[in-house]
Amino acid sequence: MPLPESVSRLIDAAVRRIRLERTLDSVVVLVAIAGALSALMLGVARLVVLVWAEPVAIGMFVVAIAGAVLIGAVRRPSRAAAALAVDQRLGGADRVATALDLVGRGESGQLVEAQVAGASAWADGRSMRDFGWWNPQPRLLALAGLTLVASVVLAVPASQADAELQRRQEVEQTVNTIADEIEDVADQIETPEVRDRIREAAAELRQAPDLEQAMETLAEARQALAEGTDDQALALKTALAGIDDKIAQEPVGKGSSAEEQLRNLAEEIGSLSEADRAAAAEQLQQLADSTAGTSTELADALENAANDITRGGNGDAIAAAADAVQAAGNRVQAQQDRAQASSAVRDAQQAIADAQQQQQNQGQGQGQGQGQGQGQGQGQGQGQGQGQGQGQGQGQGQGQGQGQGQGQGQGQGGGGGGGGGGASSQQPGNGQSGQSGGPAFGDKDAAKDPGRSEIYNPTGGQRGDEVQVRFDVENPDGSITGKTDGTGGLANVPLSPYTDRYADYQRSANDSLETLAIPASLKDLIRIYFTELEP
Amino acid sequence: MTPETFAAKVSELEEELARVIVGQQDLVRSVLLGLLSEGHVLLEGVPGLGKTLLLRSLGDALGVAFGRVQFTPDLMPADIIGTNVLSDGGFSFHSGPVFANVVLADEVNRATPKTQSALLEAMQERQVTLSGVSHQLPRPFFVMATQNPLEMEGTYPLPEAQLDRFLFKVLVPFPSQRDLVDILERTTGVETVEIKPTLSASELTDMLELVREVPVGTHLLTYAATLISATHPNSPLAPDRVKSYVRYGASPRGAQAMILGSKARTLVEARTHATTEDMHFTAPLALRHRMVLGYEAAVDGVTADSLVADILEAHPAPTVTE
Repeated sequence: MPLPESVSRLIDAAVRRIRLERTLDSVVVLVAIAGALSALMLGVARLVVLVWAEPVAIGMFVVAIAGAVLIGAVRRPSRAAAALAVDQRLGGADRVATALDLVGRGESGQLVEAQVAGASAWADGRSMRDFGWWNPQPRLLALAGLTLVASVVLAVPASQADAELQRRQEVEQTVNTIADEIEDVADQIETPEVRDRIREAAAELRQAPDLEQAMETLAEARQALAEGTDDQALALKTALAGIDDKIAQEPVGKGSSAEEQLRNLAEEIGSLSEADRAAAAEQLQQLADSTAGTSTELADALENAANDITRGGNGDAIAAAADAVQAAGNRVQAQQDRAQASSAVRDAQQAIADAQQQQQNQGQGQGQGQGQGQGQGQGQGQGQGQGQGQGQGQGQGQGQGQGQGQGQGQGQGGGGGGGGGGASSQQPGNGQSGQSGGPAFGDKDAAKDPGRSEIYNPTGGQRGDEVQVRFDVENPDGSITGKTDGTGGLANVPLSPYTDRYADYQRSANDSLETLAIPASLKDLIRIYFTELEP
Repeated sequence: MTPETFAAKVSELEEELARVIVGQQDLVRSVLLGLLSEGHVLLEGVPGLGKTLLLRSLGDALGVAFGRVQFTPDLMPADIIGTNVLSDGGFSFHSGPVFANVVLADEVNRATPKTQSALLEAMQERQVTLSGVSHQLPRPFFVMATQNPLEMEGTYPLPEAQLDRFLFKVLVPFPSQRDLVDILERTTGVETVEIKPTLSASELTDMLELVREVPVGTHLLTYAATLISATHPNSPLAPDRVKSYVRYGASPRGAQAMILGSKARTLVEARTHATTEDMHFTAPLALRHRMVLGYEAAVDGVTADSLVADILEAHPAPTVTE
């Protein structure tokens, strides 16, 4: 005996309805669980910086809803349950469930047939409109709503995590922008090893988790570039410039450059007359003499070439001189590339330093707003530290105080708390001088000493006076002695470009940084100083 | 026989009984359900509420052999089941009052356990054995016992195992004010009421067979099992008060009683299938004497009926395990 169509129709409709209701029940349960966990996690994130808290909370809600839908799809209600629900919610008095059961069991008989027929007649006049709608457990529904609202309330207002996330995004953006600029510079550099080095630095920079690490990465890159500095490059450049000038006035062969003329001369030396050979030898000897003061290598090569011509050589020495000129040119180019790369890295360091300063300023603003109730205890504690507390209320005072104490002109008007802390621990007296007025360049005080030159202040964005150094070639051992003229950098003749002495100064400063107990922030300052001065 | 004719005959029987029993429709209906389920019924109520009158009238209305035994402490088993008598050079069996279709055991708790056991064995086995010879009791065979809950002195409460053999235990309530007036009017005049038989033995047999044919859904069988499990204090389905006050839960006979009673009620109401409501109606009748309550229940005044109500509240409707 088949189940009547009217009964089957009601059961099928009930199956679909119950499936939907169970899905909604699962949504309520899982959302309540996800909401409770999210609220707890977001509550903790209000106290402790958890930048992943909000994405994870949103993810939990998404997973809860998706899980509920999945459960609804998998947990299909049985037809027996649906039949029972029809009886209970449409007033069937067990007609439908009994009919389904009897038909399923294959029972027969007078009463069974009458029962199934009665169920069919009853089902004919029923529709799912009276089945009723989803009726969730009020407590569970309230709990789900409460935890959902709590999660939203805890997530929407700005928190430490939001500020931290924003800071990280800004750091990432800043670092990527700087890395892009470095890579642009790398594309312009001809020397492969230099180009590879700063590309590597750019790649490492992109991986830096914070500005401090980025600064370290750049410092290492600059250090590596500095270690590759060719001390003779400038002298070679001067020598080559002199050779080019002389050859331009009195060519020794065909061609536009000194190297080209020497190579042509080497090829044609066999065909020259004695007079032309003697003239060429004399020209090369003059070049050797004029170059001797700047590059002994080039001078020797040119002298050998001159001697070779005089001896009637086949031009190999001239070709060697051309090779020496070419090698010198390559060294000069490499040094120029190194300088260009170093300049790019220096600019990057400056950009990061600016970003750090900006973050510190933002931190000061936040700290002032947040630290109203924290009192003197923090101020004293900050004064004992090293001034590294960036971004926090506690750290602002340290940064200001130490800056003032060091006399580096870093006091940006942060106020008494920071200045007092630093002054009490580092430099008594200096911190009391009312630093809120703005930049104060401690080494230049026109009122006290108008004759002193202005020192370059890298973080202030101002380039100071150039101090030129006189050099004296009259030392008995042939060494170059440089000293200031003591008159504020007035030009004397002959003068050595500061670039000749820069490497020595920087090396000495680096040695000092490694051997002396200098605060990290001041080490950076010194590095930046030399970076800015780097030729 | 159809459900309609079944219901019509029961209705006729109830109307006949109503001529002598004032009100008490649920009481009459409960007794008839026990009868139609081919089970024995224990009526409990204070004296004077018409227990004996009801059962005697029922015996008259059924038109079947009716036997009555007034239980007293000196009643012997032979007074119930009969005895062998020496006659004509040999023993012959003289049957007792239990050899009837309807047996009224009045004040059953006044007899000694030995005598009670004789009756209860007959109830269970539907036969009596004397001197090694078994004697079948007639069919249909119903025992309708009464007991008085007030008098404890000189009574022998039925053991739980014997109570279990009664399909239903029916409590006889005190009549309402209006029914009481009606009773007074009927019983204090000169007019007497004669009960006429409305059902023959064969008709009753047919009705009993039809009851067995009533279809019951699996969900109701499961529901009966759930209710029985819920009477056991160590069951996870048991409500808290059951766990606190019940020492032993109902036996499977309780579930059988609920199902059979529901089937009978189905036909009495001219329906073709048993319902949850039938289960709710028969649950107290079938369970109240099968739950053994602890000392705490007596101290706190907790009755079996209130515990059954708790169970029905905890499990109000059948469910389907998926």
